[in-house]
Amino acid sequence: MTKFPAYVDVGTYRGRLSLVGNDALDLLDRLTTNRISDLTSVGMGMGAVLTTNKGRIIDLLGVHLQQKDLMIITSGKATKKVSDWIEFYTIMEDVQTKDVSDETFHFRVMGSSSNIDFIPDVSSLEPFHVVEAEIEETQCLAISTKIGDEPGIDLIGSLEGKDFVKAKMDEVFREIQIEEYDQVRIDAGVPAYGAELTEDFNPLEAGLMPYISFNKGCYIGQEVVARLNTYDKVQRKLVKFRWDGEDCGLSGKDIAIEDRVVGVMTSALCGFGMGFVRNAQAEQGNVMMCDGVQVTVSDILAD
Amino acid sequence: MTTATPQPLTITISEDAAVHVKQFAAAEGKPEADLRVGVKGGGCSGLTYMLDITDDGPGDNDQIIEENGIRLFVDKKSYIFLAGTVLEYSGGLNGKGFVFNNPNAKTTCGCGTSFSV
Repeated sequence: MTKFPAYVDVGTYRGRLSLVGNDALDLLDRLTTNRISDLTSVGMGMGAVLTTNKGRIIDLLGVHLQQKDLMIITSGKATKKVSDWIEFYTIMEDVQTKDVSDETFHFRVMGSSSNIDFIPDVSSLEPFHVVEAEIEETQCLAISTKIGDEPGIDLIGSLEGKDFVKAKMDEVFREIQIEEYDQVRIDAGVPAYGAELTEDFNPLEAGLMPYISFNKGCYIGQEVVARLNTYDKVQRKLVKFRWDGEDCGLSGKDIAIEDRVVGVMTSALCGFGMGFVRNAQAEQGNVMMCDGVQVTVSDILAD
Repeated sequence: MTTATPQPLTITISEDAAVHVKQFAAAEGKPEADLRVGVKGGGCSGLTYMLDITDDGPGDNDQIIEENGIRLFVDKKSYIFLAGTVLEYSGGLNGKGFVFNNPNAKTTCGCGTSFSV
């Protein structure tokens, strides 16, 4: 297992959009599940889900209010889709959306870094909240984050400063690659775009309840999400699995009990993974089969 | 043989709706005001209708439609979603007020103010 603290370059794994204009907050509030209008002062941030009008997941966003713009952190592969979605719904509003992913670096530090002098201390901040910091003369945004229960910090800055910041990070942290980060992510039960965050699933199935406001009023998909919650109509839950042996290729495979398909494995590595199963099967300790491998539910991620 | 010339899609306002627009404009102290119609992102289905009494005059990118004594302004991007719409007024005890009969709307949400295309 990965030893913390460590850091990973998520520059392409995540995307960054800059929204400017007087209506940016209001538009995002109308498009996403969370109460974006509560971001009333610079440095505040929150997670929010962009959903289709059928209440299916487009992406899980980090929304951060800055002095000069509203910074949106997307999943890297979803950046264009998110940008196009926002632009499609920008009709009469004063909003300009710009993809700044190629102009910025993005490092994620995992584990406590409070004793590292050049890393801003965000331990007292709520997740998604931001402070500005200067590292090696590079202006950075430092975003408080969590990977499962592990504290973390995202550092975002202009691409010109990337090498200087990276050199400083290498003095004190071990760098891990995206493949190892994915191991950390799956072990922590964090959903990812293309696996758990897709239009096959809704935010309640995927354990994204903390990013949904049920009293904010209308947003795209709200009617469906509210009905699923009010009438307890959520059919599946995201769970974690464990299994013995070296089977590593279970991602995307059906999960079955006595030849009856009850779910799907969406992310898997060797010996552990996560996936969606029907509510009745979403019990810790339940045993089922996935591509001939006996897998056991080890944790319920959506409740 | 005669060939029918296709009519350009426009936005029309019914007589009854026009009467109510004038009443609302007068109540707001703007009897000479115009009506701005538009669409904005949001609502359960994706797009929400907007109606506003305005005395600001048309914008540079507005379509201007005159019917039943009302000048109606629509910005060009909203017009794409509204072309062919008839704005009506539904009164009475079960009435909904202004109603957009929009041929572009594929689905509408329960309250009828939001639609998708």
